[in-house]
Amino acid sequence: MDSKPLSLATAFILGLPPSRLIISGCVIIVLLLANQALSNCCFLSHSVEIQSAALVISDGTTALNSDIDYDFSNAALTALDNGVSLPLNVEVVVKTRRDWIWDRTEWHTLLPYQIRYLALSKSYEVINELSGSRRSFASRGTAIDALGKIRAMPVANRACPSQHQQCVLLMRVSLDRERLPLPLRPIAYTRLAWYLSSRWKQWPLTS
Amino acid sequence: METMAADKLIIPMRFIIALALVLILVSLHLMSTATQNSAEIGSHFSALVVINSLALVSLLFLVGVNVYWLIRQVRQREAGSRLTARMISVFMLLALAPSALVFFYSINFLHQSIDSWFDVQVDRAMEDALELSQASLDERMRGQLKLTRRMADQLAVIHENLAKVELGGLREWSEATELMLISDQKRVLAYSSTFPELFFPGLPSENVLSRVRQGEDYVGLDPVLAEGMQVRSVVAIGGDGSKRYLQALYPVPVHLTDLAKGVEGAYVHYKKMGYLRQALKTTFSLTLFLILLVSLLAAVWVTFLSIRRLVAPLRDLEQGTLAVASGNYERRLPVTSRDELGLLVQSFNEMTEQVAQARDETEQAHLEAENQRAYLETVLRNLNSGVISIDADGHLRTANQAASHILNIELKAFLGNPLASLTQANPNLSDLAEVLQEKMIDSQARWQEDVSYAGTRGQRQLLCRGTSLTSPLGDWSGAVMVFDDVTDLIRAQRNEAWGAVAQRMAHEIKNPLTPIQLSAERLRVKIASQLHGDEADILEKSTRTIIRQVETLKEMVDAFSVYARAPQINLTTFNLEELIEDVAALYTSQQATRIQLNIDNDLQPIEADAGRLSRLLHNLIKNAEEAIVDKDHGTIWIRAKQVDISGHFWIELSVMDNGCGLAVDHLDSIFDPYVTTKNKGTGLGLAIVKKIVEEHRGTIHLNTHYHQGAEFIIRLPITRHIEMQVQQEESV
Repeated sequence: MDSKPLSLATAFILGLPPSRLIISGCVIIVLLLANQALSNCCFLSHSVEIQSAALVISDGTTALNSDIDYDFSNAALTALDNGVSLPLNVEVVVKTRRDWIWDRTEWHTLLPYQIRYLALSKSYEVINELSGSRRSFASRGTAIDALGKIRAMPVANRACPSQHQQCVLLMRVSLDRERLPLPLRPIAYTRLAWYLSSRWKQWPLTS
Repeated sequence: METMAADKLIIPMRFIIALALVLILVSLHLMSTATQNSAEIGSHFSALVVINSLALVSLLFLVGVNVYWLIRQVRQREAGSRLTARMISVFMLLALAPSALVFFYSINFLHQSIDSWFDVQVDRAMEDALELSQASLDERMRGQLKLTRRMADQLAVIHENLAKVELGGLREWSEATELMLISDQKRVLAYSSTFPELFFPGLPSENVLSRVRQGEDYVGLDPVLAEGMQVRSVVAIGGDGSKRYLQALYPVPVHLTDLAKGVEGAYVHYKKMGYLRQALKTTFSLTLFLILLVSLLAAVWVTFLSIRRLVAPLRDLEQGTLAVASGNYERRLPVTSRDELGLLVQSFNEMTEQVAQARDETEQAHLEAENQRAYLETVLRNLNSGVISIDADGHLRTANQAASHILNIELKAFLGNPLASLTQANPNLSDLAEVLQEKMIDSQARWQEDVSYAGTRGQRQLLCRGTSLTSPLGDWSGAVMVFDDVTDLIRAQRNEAWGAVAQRMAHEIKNPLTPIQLSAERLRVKIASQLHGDEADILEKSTRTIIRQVETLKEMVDAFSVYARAPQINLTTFNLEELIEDVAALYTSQQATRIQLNIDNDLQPIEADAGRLSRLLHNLIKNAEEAIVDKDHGTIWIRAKQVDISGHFWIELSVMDNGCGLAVDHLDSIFDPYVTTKNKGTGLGLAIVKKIVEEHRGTIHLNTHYHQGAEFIIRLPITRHIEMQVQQEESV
C-alpha cells in the first residue's frame, strides 16, 4: 500500500518510474564520490609543509613549538600585497591510539592566524587571533617566516591522558577560505592556486 | 483506489513543491544579500552557493529527466506527448527569450557599474592621500629619530649605571612612552615607561637589531592594540662599535592615528576592491546567473508538472477512446478537474457506460436469440417432418435433417442459394420445385398440398404445408414449408384396403366356385348320356363354359390372394439378365410371340426377390402380349441397362410393345387394382407389378412419349441398397 503512493509521487514529480530514479540517484552519488576522491588524490598540490612540531609541558600547560614552511602561490601573494588578509588555521589534534577501533581524540585546538599588508607603514603584520598579539615586519618574507615559527603557543592543559598509552600529535595548516573577502571565495574554491594547505602530519608524543 | 490514492497525494505534493520553491527563493535572496557584503550573511555565502548549486543541479536533473521522457514519449507517439512538447516549447521560448535579454543587459550593466567604481583620478587621489599620511608620519618619525639619537648621544658619554638613572628624565624630556636600554645580547639594561606598573617591554625584532648593528638607525610605525600606533626608533649608543642600543617608543596622537588609519583603511579597501574587481564581477555574475537559472529551471519544472496535469485528461481520453475502439467499454477515466476538460471526461464516462449498457443488452438479446435458434434447431433436427424456408429473395434459408433425408439431398449445401440451383443439381426435383415456386413464393396465404415427384428412391408422395413469413413491419420476408413423406403411409393404407377387398372377394368367390365346377361337371356326366344331337352339344358347351369361367374365376381369386398376401420379400443376389432370358424363353417357345432382348453386358447382379421379379416380367410380357395379339407384326422389346441417378446405381428395365397402346383416360389409373381396358382380365396385373416394384423400393412409370404402343420403365436399386434404405427409413 505504501509503495503505490510513493511511486505515484515520484512519477508526478519526475515523470519517470521509481526504479529509474533510484538508478539515477546512485549514478550521481558515485560521480560525486569519484569527484571527491580525484580531488584529494590528484589535483591538489600542498604548498604548506609542516617541518616540525612538538608539545612542551610547562607549569601544567601544554605549549606548541612548530616550524612551518609556507610557500604561498603568486595569486595569494598578489592578493596579500593588494590588501587582502590571508587567514590561516593551524589545527592541532592529540589522539590516543587504539588497536581495534578508531583512535580517540583527546583534544582538538584551532589556532587562527592572519597575515596582512599595512599600506601606511609599508609593512606586513602577523596576527595571532587567539592571543591577539600583533607583530609587524618590514618585509613580506620576514613576516611569512615569522608566521611559520610557532613558539610556546599554549594549546591545552594536558598533553596525553596517560603515560601508558600511545598518543600522537596531528597537525595541519590550511587557508580559511571562508574568512577571505566574499568575492574571492568562489575563486578560492575553484582555483588550485588557492588550495593553500598542508597534509595532516603526525608525531608520536613521548614523555 | 488508485484515483483516491492520487487525490490524497496531490495536496501534500503540491505543498512540498511550493515549500521547495519558497526555500529556493529564500536561499537565492540570502545569497543575493550576502553578495552585497552583508556581515551577517556573508559568512554563509559559500553554504548558500552550495545550497543553490544543489538546487540548480536538482532542478537540472528534474528538468532533464522530464525532457528525456517527453522526447521518448513523443518518439513512441504516446497520447498527449506532442501537445505537451508543443506547450513546453512555447513556454520556454516565451520565458527564455526575455530572460536571456534581461540577463545579458543586467550583466553588462553590472560590469559597467563595477568598472565605474574605479577611476584614475580616484586612484591618484588615494595614492596621494596615503603618501600624504606617510609623509606626515615620516616627518614625525624623523623628528623622533633625531630625538632618540640625541638621547643616545647623551647616554653614550655617561656611565651605564648613571644612564639607568638618566633614562627616566630623558623619557619625560622626549615625551616618549617608553625608553629601553638594550645590550647586544638583547637584554634589557634599563627601562623607563610612562606606565611602569605595566612592565611589558616590547623588544625590537632581530631584523631591526641587525640593521642597527650595521650602523643604520631604525624608525618605524608599530601597531598598538587594535587601532593604535606608536613610533619605534632604535639607535646604537656610541657609534658603530657600540654594544648597547636605545629603543624609544613614541605615541602617535589619537587624532593623527585616526586620520592615518582612515586614509590607510580607505586606501587598502580601494586597492583591495580594485584587485577584486574581476572576482567581484564573477561573483555578481555567478549570483545573477544562479538566480536566473534556478528561477528558470524551477519555472520550467513547474510548467512540466502543470502541463502534464493539464494534458492528463486528454491523454486519458485518447487511451479511453482506444480502449472503446478495441471493445473495452468498462474503462472509466478519473475526473481530476471541474473545468471543461473534467466535463468532457465525465461525458466520456457516461457515454462509455451507456455504450456498455447497450452492448450488454444487445449481447443478452443475441444470447436469447441464439438460445431460441438452438432450441429451434434442436426441435427441427428432431422433427420427422422436413422443414425448409426461403428468404425474401427466394434463397433457401433453412433446411433440417429430415428434409434432407426425405428428399435424399444434402440441403445444407444449397443454403443461401436460390431454389433454381437446387433443381439444376437435382433435375428430379423439378416437380417439387415448381410447387415450391408456386406456393412458397407466389402464394402469400397458408396452403397445403400433396406433391408427387420422382425422387432418387422412386415416386414419392409428399404432404406439404406452408405459410408465408412476415417481418415485424408486416412485409413479406419469405416462406416456410413443412412436409412429410407419406408415400409409405398411402401405400400401406391402399394396400391394406385393397388387401381387405381382395381377401373378401377371394373368400366370397372362391368358396362357391368348387361346387359350381363340380355341379357343372356332374351335370355334364349325368345328363350328357341322356341328350343327343344339338342338345348334347349345348350341354357340352355350357358346362365347358361354366367350368372354364370357374377356372378363370379361380385364377382371379388366386391373383387376389397373391395381391393381398403380406409382403415377405426374399432377397437374393442374382443376375437379372438370366432371369429375363429365362422368362422370355417361355413365351418365345410356347407361342409365336416376338420378343427382342437388349440387355447390357455389364449389368451388376441385383439383390432382389427373384420370384417376384419373375412374376413382374410375366405380368408385363403378358400385358404386352395381349396388346399385340391383333397385330400382324407384334413385337415385344425388353431392355435392361444400368443407370446412375444422384450417385446411386439402378437397373432400368423397359418393356415396350407396338400394340394398341393405352387410352389417355386410363393413364393416371393404369396401376390401380381392378382397372383394365381388356375384355377379360382381373385388372390386377399392373397393380401387382407396381406393388412388386414398390416392395423393391423401385419406380415404375409409363413412358407417355412413346405413342406406337406402350412402354413401361422400371427402375430397381442394385444390391443391398434396398435393405439399407429400409433400415434407414425404419430408424427415422
